[in-house]
Amino acid sequence: MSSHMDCTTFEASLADFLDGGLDERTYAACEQHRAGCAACHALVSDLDAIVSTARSLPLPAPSHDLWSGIEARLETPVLPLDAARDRRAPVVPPTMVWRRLAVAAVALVTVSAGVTWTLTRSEPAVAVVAQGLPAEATPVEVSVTTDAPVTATPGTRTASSTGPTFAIDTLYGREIAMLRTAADASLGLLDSTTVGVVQRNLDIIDNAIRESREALAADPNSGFLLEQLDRAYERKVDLLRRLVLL
Amino acid sequence: MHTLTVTGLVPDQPHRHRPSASAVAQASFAPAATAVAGSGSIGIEAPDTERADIAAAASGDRRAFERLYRTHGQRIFALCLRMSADRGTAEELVQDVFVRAWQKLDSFRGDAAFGTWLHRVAVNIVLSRRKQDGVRRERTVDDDTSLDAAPARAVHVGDRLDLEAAIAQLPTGARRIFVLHDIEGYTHEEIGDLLGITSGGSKAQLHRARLLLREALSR
Ligand SMILES: [Zn+2]
Repeated sequence: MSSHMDCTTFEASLADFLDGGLDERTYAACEQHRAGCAACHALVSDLDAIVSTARSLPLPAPSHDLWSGIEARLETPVLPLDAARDRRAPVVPPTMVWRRLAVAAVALVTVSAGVTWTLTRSEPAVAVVAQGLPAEATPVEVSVTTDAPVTATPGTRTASSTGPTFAIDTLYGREIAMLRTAADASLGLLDSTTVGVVQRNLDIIDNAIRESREALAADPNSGFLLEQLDRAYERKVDLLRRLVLL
Repeated sequence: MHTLTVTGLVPDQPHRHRPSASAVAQASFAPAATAVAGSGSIGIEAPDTERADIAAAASGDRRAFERLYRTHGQRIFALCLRMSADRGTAEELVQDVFVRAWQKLDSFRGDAAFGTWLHRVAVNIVLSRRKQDGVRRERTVDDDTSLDAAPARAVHVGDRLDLEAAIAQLPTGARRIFVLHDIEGYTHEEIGDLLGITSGGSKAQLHRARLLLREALSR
């Protein structure tokens, strides 16, 4: 590289110059240019000052204490199913109720190994309808089914939940539903081969979700299976998020 | 490494080098026991009291969890605020983060610092909000902002309030990468993994963000 670097070349190397991605020779040429060019010298100084200032920014504080809001959502009341249904309709936004139920289910799973769950749900709470996306990119369809039939054994401390999978389904269902619309938009921009690859990956993940859930139905207290399900959902959320960011 | 004389910048706090970050304690928050930045930068190890709180919270102790919130909440809020550029959104996000952390606490293995784990939970939650946030930003940000024009006058980057405001005005993608890299200390590789982009893409966006900030600060 010439020792007489011009401003354009300097600017092209600037990102690496600042963050240490240049070989010794190019770096020296940049350094030489900067030393002799007021404009580039000022540019580097400014960017460096921005980076330094950014690192020393004080932490902003929220306008009010957020703990009470958090704690309210940590509440794990054991709601009878009917109460939950009644409250859901007029007063409380559905997502709140289901969120609370999900939390309740998690708490119960953690605390009460002895509780008997009666699982009669035939459908997964979150079902991904994988219909082989055609070339023009039909969106990934995720349907969130929350009204799963439940029977609670009278007298037992059973929440209006269908067990541990319900909690996880609900937690991720919300996020997945949120990502779905955005992911659809991204899919629409992809070619059919890529859409096919994405769909195959989604299918694999959905199979893992399905299998974990089936195994959990037989062994609801298995921490291992719960974690498997959790991981499968994480992968799904991750994949959708990547789609969104395309 | 090149050395530069930085003018117009008088930090009243020691320059932070990766991999460590200092946390500033303010009202309603306890001093963070665990320094957190990019996941590669774990910093101080959690004291026994924090480990005890994590274990207690994992088995349902809300007071123990509140202590964890007091220690780490402000740092998480700062992340959420800068990533979302919206105070209301950030406050919602913080709540989502801690609720999610509470739910997932027993999956915390203890092989990373708790603060780092929590930070990762927060980044994931913030990124899953991308769509809504993007809509919000569009009203203020022109993504085609020219970077060619040199600043007309000296840049006053020493003013943190100005910088904070300028960061908030960045286009979403550039802002997030700037926050994750230059403020939170994530590497380009880590950012690439988080955002599903290449580390080269992350580098390019970061540079663009810095140039946009310079331009904004020179107005
Ligand atoms: Zn020059």
